[in-house]
Amino acid sequence: MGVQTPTPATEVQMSNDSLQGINSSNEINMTENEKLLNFINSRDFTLYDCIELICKYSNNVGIHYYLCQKLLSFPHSELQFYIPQLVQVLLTIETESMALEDLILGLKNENPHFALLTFWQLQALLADLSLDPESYGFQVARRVLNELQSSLFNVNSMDEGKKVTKIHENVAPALVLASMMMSCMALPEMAQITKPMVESQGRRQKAYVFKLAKSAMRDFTKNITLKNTKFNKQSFYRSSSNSSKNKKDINAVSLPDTPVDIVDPTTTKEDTDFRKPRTKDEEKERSLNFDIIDDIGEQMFSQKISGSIKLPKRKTKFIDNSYVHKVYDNKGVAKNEKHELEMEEGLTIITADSQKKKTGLESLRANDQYTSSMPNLHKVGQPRSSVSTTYGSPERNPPKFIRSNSQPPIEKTLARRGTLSRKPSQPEIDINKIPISKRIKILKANYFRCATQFAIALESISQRLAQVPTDARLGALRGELSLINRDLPAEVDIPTLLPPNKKGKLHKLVTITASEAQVLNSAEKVPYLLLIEYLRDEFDSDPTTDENIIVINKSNCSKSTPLFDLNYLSKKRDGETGTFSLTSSSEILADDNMLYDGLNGTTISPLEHTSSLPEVGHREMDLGDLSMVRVKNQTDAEAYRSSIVLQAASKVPVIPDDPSQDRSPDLTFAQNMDELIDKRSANSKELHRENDDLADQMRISALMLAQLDNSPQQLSDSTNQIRAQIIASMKEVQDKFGYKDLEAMHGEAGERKLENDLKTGGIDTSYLGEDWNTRKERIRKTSEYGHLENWDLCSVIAKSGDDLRQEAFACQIIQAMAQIWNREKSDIWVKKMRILITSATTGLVETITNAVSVHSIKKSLTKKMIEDGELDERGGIASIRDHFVRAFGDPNGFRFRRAQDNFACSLAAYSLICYILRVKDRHNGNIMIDNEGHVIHIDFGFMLSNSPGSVGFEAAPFKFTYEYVDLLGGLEGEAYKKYVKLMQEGFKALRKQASQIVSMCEIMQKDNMQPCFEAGDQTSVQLKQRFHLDVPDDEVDSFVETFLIGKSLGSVYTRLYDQFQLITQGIYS
Amino acid sequence: MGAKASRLSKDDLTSLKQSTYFDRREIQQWHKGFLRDCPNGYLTRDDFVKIYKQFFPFGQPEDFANHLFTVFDKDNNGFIEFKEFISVLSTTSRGTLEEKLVWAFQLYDLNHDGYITYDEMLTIVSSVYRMMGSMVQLGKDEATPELRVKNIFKLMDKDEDGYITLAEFREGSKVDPSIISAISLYDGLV
Repeated sequence: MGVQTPTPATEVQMSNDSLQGINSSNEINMTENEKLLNFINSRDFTLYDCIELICKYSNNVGIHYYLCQKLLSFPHSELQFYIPQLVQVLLTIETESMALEDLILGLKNENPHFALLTFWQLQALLADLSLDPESYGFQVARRVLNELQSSLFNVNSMDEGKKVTKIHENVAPALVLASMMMSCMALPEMAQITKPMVESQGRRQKAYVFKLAKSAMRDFTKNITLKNTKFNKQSFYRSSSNSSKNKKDINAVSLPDTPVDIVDPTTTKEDTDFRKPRTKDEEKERSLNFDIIDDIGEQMFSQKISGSIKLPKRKTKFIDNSYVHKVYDNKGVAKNEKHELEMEEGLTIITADSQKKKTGLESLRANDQYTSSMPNLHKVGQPRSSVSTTYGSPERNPPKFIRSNSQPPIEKTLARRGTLSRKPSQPEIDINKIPISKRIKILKANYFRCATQFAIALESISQRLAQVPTDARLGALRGELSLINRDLPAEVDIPTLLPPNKKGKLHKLVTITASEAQVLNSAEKVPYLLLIEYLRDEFDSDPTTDENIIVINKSNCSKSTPLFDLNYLSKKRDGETGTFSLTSSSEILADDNMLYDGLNGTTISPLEHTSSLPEVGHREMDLGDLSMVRVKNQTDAEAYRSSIVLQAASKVPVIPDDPSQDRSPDLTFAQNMDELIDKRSANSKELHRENDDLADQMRISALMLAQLDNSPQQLSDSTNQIRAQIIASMKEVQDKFGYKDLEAMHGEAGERKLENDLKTGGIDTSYLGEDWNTRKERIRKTSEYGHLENWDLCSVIAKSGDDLRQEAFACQIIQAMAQIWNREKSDIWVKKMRILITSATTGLVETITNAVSVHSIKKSLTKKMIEDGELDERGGIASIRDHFVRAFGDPNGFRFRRAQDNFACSLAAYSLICYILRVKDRHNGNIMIDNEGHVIHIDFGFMLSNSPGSVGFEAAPFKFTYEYVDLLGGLEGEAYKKYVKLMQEGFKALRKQASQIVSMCEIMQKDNMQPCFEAGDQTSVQLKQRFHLDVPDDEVDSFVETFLIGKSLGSVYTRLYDQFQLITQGIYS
Repeated sequence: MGAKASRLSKDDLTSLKQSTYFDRREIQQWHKGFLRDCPNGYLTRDDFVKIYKQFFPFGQPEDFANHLFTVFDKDNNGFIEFKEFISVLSTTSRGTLEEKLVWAFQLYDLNHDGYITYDEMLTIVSSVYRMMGSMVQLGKDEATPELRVKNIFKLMDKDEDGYITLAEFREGSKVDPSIISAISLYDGLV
């Protein structure tokens, strides 16, 4: 599919930087474009067609514009589904056209979820792109993100409607503009039609490089620059060399000396005042014109003051983003130069020193304020330290935006300083005086603020938990959640994971059922399961309702109160600034020091002192310690938390300090802790070693098998012999261990896989867990909101430290397949799974309720059957069929047969999905069965082009074992026949739409760092091959039967992989 | 003659400042923008046509663009230099209504004889219709260029001599609200 290769015959090519370059392009083919227009306006034209064409015609501004307008004609829900593609296209396909960017920015006004999702998506991509800050994608991402942010969170940003945007110095739109005026006698309507596009293209900004201005500046302030540059460089090199190690250096990023991205977000706004475009580089030129700067600065400044709004804080990032310095170095230098300049010019009344303090403080705040969109740019790569920073950082005071990039007059700055500890003296505004449009804006901003802060709070919990001893985590989690609950109910929901909204309404989260929360595993990253109660379609942004008036009032007088801020929680938030003053006095001190140090080129700051504390090793103490420091300023919330943590910590049994044990188990194993410790200290090392040997042996065998399979056919006799031998030896190895031993060895590792089962909250009761509806009712009864008619419960997993985008992409493409089957009215059943990406390393995952992994079904059922005497201890393991019989009764009964049918319908779906997407790592821990008998695959960490390890274990098209056949009633069984039929149907349906699926992959694979795109451009090529479009339609049925099913059935590879997993991971085959 | 004008001379700047509605800074900005888009310092007829093809992909803008180019290219040397560009931009975006109308007249008066004939008007209107293609839905009485030209003459050719003079053009345009609003539609954008 020629997504990235536009066909030159049909379009005018416009080179990027010059109109001159277009001379060589071919003559435009009118009929082609007219055909295109007809297609676009035809009934069959789908949203996805539109996205494809947007890629294809990125070189033609006019067509691109038209297509982007066309996008708006599709339902929002559909558009929302394709946000990842839209954002990806925006960032990876270079174009002269502004249309897509405008569209994405425009959609934010129409749908708050769209805005949030785009925001998060961009934020995540920005992290990837940051490796190359000069890249087109990074520039676009940053620009759009800033724009989004300033308009989402800043209630005082200009009203889009009123704003008259001047066009920038772009020749093409200017020419068209001129001619429209001249031709309006011929056809007055034309001017109107053309205007939006002229405006859109006119907005295009390109960076000018003002070498002259730059060098003049450099000479002018050489001395100061030198110092700063040196400092900046130092920290850059150090942090880039090893950012995870050098926490101190990374901290330097947030030091005032290092540049902070507070410039760009204000650019657009100032532009309007300034009546001229500015770009990053122009900054420097402008620094020369102080007269203008001060005027504008003052203007901006006063606006900022009156509208200071707390933007959500982004606390932590796991990603190593050492690039930051590179990008912001220059800017920062320029900025500092500016300050220094002003001082030199004698504008200052105060000493240079305090001026510096001031700016530092401002930068710090500004930093804080804007980090939500630029999280990775500031608090880079300090996973641990920043977590602790949140406990002890001086940023207690709600940040106020003080600094625009133009320096405000000093007098005002001074005045500000005096009021630092209090809210800026903004007079209480009577709500009736606020225009309706602004009220709506406040309400919307409030929602965005709540939603982003909520996501951040969930994320920070996960990081906090990682620092807590394993056994204390559950307690800590529940404690943290109850802290969050203090700010609930709030105007917040979870986009995409909750059921669709009624028009204009949003769900409202009312409380998190803390007692039901679960820590999911003991890995470094601590995902956890949350049950969140919410009220369906509870709030909106209608500025006239009583509830919303309260919200407006609240956000008007206490705008800067952070929500869900786990560091700083006061019950009496509103208007309660008394607590702030204490903190800020110490804060000023801290800042002074910091700046002083920063200017001296050292990297020591109070911030670092606190953040380096946890590294000393008093893991459980740091929390208490740090909060003790500030205990006077703290509300009981902080004390409450530390007490929880300390309590929990004190309960932790002493675990032998054995570095070879990466983690202690939690949850289920917590009960038999003692037993486990004993076992472990005695055997584990040895077992592990043996276990490794075994794994190696298996791996080698598998490699040999793979080689055998690739050998020429003629040798088949001898290869078969060898293969038989290898398999026999593998079995022998496997039989050396009873399952009990395996359990002892791998209980821990196997536990990891139980994460998925916990999604159901199962395992502790019966082997199937509590039914979701039962559970819901139980919670509803005890909930204080339970009596409300629109009460509902959702169950999500909060993850942090994992990049969920590949999973999200898998879910998306699976859903696209499901839609295809749905359109064909096929019986094929697919579970709809949704993932919400909130940054490159965080996200929320919808849980699959009422389902348990095959692994744990087998594990617990085997145990039960042995207890019941139905299975001999060494006689093997329970089969899925055993489970079905237990769960659904008599194999000839209706319930069983219905479940069997469900199994067939879903198995067909996942067989095709696994084949087409080349989903690997299909062990039973990643396959679930729900309470209706459906099979559901999870965990798409390995698909398309990556596989677990480098071992080609799973060579079969998909996992299809004899056990499945058995459950389907054998090869002659009706269920089996239905399965085959659905496979054939389903494959044919997919083939018809192969181009869309391939193209979805094609769009996403560009410059994508997700492991599933390891093969780069080949990823989509291989994907396309798997559709076997060369096989004629009438042969597809037999192809599916012989090639797909036949080759998969009882594949030796599948069996090997299960065995491998059993031996190495303790996952039941 | 396509002289490489990578920098505006002081004299140029001063004279442009006087002859246009732009201030010094704006002229410099536009100059930079112009050079960025046309590194050679000028636009050829081909470049010009291509811009219109970009903006009107579903129509045939060649004829219109060619006529327009002639108006822009004051010295008739086959290139639009920055000076030519900026002065057109000045008039069309910031000029008074009168100035705009005088400018626009040039587009229609193809042979520069001070009169717009029926054929001249039809030529331009047809080219505009072709440029728009099917993108605009027109009323029945304007469905074809001929119908539109008829209406224009009805509006402007007060003495019904088959020609439109500049005076007629100005007066006629001013009484038509759709033309007036279209003329001022882009005000404030540049």
